[in-house]
Amino acid sequence: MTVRSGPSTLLLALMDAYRWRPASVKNRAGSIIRLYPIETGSCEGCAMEISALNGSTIPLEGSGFQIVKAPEEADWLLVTGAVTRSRIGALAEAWNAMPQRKSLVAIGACAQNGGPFKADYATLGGVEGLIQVYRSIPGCPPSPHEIFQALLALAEG
Amino acid sequence: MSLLSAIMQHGERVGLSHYRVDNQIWQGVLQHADKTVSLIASWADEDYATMLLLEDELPFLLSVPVEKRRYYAPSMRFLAAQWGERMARDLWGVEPLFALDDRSALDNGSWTLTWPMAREPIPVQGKVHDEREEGYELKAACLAVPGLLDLTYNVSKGLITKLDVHIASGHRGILSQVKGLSPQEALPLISRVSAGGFVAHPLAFVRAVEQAQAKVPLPQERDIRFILLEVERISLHLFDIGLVARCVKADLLATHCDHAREVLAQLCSQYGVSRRLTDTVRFWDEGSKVSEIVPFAQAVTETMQPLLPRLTGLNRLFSSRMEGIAILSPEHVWGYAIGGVTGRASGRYIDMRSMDVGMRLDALRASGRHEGCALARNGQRLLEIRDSLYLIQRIIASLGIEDEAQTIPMTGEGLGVAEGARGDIWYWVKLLHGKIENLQVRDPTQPVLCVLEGIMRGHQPDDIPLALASLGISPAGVVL
Repeated sequence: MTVRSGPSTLLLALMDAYRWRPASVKNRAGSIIRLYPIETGSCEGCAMEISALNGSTIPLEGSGFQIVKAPEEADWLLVTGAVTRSRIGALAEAWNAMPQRKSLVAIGACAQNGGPFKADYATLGGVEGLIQVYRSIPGCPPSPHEIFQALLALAEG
Repeated sequence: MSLLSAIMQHGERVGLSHYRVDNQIWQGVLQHADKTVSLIASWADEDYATMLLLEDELPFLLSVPVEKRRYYAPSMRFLAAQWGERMARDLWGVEPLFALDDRSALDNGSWTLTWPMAREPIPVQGKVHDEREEGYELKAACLAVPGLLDLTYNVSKGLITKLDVHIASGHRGILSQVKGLSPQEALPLISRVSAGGFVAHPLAFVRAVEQAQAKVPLPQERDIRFILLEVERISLHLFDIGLVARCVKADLLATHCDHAREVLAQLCSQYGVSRRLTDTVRFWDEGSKVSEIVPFAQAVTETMQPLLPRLTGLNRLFSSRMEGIAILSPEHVWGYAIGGVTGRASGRYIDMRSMDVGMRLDALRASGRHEGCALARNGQRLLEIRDSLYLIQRIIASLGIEDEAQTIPMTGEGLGVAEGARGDIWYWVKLLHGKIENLQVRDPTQPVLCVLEGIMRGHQPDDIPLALASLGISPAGVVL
């Protein structure tokens, strides 16, 4: 295996990165939607896909979304995980800290209804039984592209 | 005389490599075990306390009866036992005597039951005192790694002097949920224990069940599992390298990792398996889910091979940002039996794939490093991706080749191991009338949690996300 390092590696790598850059969805109506992901107890699969959603293969920011680091700055709460009893307080805290006109989006089967994790002494089994108004993106785990497309669809109403 | 030989003479054999001893021998082991013996895991329920030990790369289980809910703590001798002891106390209410750490690990007061795995759990009354010590707190959302891990730490002159790890909030009650299920019923749940092992976790479980039932997969099925495990290894190594790259602001390297991982996921999808290889591991008699394994494997190697030199070059370009960060010493990796990339980058060469029947050993070329820092771990990951591609090629060149598989007796209990991307994953399962009577899991993150404070002491708090990403920490497989 030939390993090149130095200016040529940098230049070629930059050219590749430029070539791969995903095309933004420019025509989405409305202002930027700020997303705050919160993990509530899972295999971490959906959280890893959200990490990929915020990576370089999905044009998230170019398409009117932004992942933020505090719930106070967020419009939508992206919930991953089956909601353990230990995390319900953090989930409620994040929700209460968000400004008005907020939404909750359950990402993946666990967040929706517990997925393979049924309600027990430690787990509540998703947001389905906890709140009445929420939106969900199915999958186990959903791919970053599926999450992105679903977010676009939800944004368009 | 080796420890195992002595135990074979004085203990009662209750499984293929499982011995039961009395309290006197148990204490003798804790006092006299030398450095050739390392502890992989420990657990305890109301009946027995058990250590999973490794002597000269040979695993065996040692159990002692639990009397009046008490047993002598393995952590008196093996420091890596502390998390297992803390979790057993929370789940079964059994007390490890002279334990290194007697704080609660899982039960932070939110459960509806105390000792939920005990024969008679107690409905909760009151609230457990939060045992967190005062200090700065880093919540899961502030850390680079996915998953529920909170840290508290103290700082003096800008440097970390003390650090504590909290994982309780991710506990889902998996051990309780699989109890009483058939292995087939439990497999979907086991397949979602951790995204750090969508293949490796169920594979270790399936191997444990097959050992308990004295079954051996056909050579072709065995090889398909090998290939899936390597594809998962490549994907997770790319994820971890990318995470580390983002922490050191090497966005170009991160972009290339993102791209390579996405290409791999699309290939999986194109050849009829799920993007992250979920639900691809099955039992010996269920047939493989992957119908076109050879074209799939060929496509993986042909697509990924050309991407590797660029990744290696970029990693070298940003090397100064990772060098010397979060050093893990050889003494620690041997003492705590830390495996995977983290162990091999610090001089512990052990790779459980070498124990697999039918493994093409000549393909495992990366011998390891000794620097033990974030750069060494990234370098090791890249070498292991190279080896995985070579191993896949070697396997498809002789797919289904017969090997000398030993016939094993049916004992009703089994021990399975799979070398996942982040280290060796172990499952011990005990079956009764075809249902799971007992199950224990050891995830490679568990021993790393024991040494995290030692690694971070003397670092700035800003280094924490990079350290966690570089160590490949994923609490889901530990907290269960």
